[in-house]
Amino acid sequence: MDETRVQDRGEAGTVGTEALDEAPPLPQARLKGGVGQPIRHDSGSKHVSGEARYLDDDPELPGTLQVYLAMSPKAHARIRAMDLAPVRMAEGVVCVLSAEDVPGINDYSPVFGDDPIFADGIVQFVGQPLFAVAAPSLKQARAAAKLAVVDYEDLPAAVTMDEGVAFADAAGEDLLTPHEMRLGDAAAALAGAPHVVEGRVETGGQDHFYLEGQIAYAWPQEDGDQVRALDRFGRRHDGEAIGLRLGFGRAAGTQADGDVEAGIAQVQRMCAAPRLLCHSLWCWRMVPSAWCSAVRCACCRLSLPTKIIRAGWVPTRFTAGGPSRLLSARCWRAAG
Amino acid sequence: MTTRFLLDEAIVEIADAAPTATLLDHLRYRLRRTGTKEGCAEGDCGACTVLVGELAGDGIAWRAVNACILFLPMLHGKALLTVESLGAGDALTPLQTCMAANGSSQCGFCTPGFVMQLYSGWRTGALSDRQSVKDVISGNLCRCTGYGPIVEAGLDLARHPLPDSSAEDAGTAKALRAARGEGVFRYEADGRLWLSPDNVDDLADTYAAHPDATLVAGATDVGLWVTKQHRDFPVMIDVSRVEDLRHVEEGPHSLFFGAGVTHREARARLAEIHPDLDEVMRRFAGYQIRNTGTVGGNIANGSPIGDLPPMLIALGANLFLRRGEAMRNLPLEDFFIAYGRQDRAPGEFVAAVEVPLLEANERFAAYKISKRLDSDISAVLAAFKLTLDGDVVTAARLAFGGMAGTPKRAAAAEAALIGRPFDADGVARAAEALREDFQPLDDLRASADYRLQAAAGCLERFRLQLAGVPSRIEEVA
Repeated sequence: MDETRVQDRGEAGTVGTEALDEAPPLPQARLKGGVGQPIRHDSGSKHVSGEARYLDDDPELPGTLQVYLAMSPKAHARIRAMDLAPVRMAEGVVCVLSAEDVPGINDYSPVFGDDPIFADGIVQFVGQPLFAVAAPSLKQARAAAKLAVVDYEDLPAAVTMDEGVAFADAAGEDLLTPHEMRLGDAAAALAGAPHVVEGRVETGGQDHFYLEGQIAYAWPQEDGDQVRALDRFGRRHDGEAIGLRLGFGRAAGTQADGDVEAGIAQVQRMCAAPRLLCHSLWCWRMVPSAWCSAVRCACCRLSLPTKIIRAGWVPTRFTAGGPSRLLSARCWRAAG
Repeated sequence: MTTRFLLDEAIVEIADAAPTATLLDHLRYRLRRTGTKEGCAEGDCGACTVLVGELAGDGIAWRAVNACILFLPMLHGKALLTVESLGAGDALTPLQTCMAANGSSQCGFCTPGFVMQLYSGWRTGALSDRQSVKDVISGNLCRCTGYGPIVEAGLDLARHPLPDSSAEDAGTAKALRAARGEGVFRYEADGRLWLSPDNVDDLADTYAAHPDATLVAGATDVGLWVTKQHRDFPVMIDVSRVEDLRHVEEGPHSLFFGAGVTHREARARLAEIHPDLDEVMRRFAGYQIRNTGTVGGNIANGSPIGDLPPMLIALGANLFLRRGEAMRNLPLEDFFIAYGRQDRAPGEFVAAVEVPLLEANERFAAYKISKRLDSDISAVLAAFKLTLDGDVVTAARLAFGGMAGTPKRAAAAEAALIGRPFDADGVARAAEALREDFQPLDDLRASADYRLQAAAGCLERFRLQLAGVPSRIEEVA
């Protein structure tokens, strides 16, 4: 068992029921930054007219490849074998990537280190990405992905909180690292309370993605060792998030400009480029970039002639042995 | 022939796109009008809402539809407005000004869809009070701004006088009339064929000649076969232009709904039969889907969770099918043979459904049980009609959706109610009998046990309602 992390908020105050009827106090002095003042959204007029541009609204570079993520149909299973040869042979397929192609850490999670980019030996939820297929059209990529032969051994799945706790208990582990937020002495307050009501509340709340297509578009910079990636709002994710995570040393630029008016920190977190490229997206697009001269790929273990590329990690950098091709990747959540 | 439609008064002509190419893709990737967004690609979120106008007398009838599941040839001979058709830059329309001033956008992605949907509600006079605004936007999802400021903008807009667009519409109507062709519209591209007759005889002939064709009316279901299931259809027959199927006719004791009547049109007429039908139809799918989806489609696709069939079965509806020159009819419940199987021969199509009016000694109720109030698929749809002699039940029609592989009557429960008063004891016996009638599925929407309990609960609610006991949440909350 891990040690419990405690966040002590100090002493609890007493709140009377009359407080429920009170309006929250208004700030006496005008606050900086417009807090408490109605301020028009900078992009409001563009939103209502449809002029605001999102990533998928911009034309693609000529030759952009589309990438589709094949996903697990199983909630919990061991992957006994995954034969991707038929996928690689399929019409139009330019490259296929799976866990073994990730040169760095096969993980995109921001905190717990438990979210593989591609499933590696085991799948833990329906929809978990297994591998990625790049082809000139989404239709080709999707059709090719269906040709994979995956042999699963079903494992028991925990799909409710209670089942999850039971599994963890059986394994003698905590489901998550213990964490307690403390405000005063709750046990003593309950013991001294005139009435104690017991019960259990389940909200069914879910962490959801935004409505818009989960999309990212990446393309190479001139030296080939930098790939610029954009998320759905057009924010830049230039180097660090992708590069460091995947084992490339050089971070170019900031992780994200963060100047888009989404206004919710969650977006930043979810839009970290690796997440976009690997998990929240169903498919990507890549560009063989004719405008980019030959670039060497650090992670390329297999160079195929001319237009076919075997790249270690698509969105960051790579290419072919012959005339350079693939340098851009674009991801978006397509319809199914 | 080419597909031709009017976009902002200019003719758009399409000759090479596959017949199942969607309007949304064409707008975004060919015409590069990217204000219209793709959210779900299944007609659920409304981010792709556009307005389609059709000739109606001297003017144009505008309706909001989902561009993501609208096939391009369905636009032939119609007019189209997208968010770009409204104001931009410094020249926003009052609606857009209301939205922008109210803080009705945050990430802004759903916003063009809301703008178009509210615009359609305004233009058609559907916006009045808060509930009307909520109803109009029932088919639009927002996931970050929150609906509060959007509803406020809709209320603001409702206070603005309607624009007089009759002159503009007359011009559009003139252009559409000039472009309108007669007979079967034929569009062929990408090796696939689209046929769209404009009268029922031509439809019968066309379908007889292509019995393997896929029929499409509003494409609110077939659209998903393309966008989600990626199916391919070599020949499609569009029934949405068949004028004869788009009317509701009154008989002495019944209403006849043509198969092509949309849910929105049907709702107004069903409301005349019973207010519960109006309420279920208010919550049936979203606004845009009701503008497009048809009565015939909801029946013919044979879904076990279509909301209309159980209600119509409870009312004792008769289904009219046509094949070539031959017309036959059968009780609606007999049309549904098993999951995915209906009593419909190759080349035969649903032409109309006759819905009896309620007699003085008949009592009716319909309840839609779904996780979300608006725009959600039913876990259970219960519809009941009892015929009473004094307080004794002489006939019962209890029909359910979501309880079996087809919309289905509860024969055992009906038998348990007949010949005795509709009282607590009778309901208890019928509830028990429901377990003989149904072995429902466990799925994402509900467990089997929940479905059985909910079905019995609906029956009990019906009893309480007839006894004058408040039983609806609005009555007791």
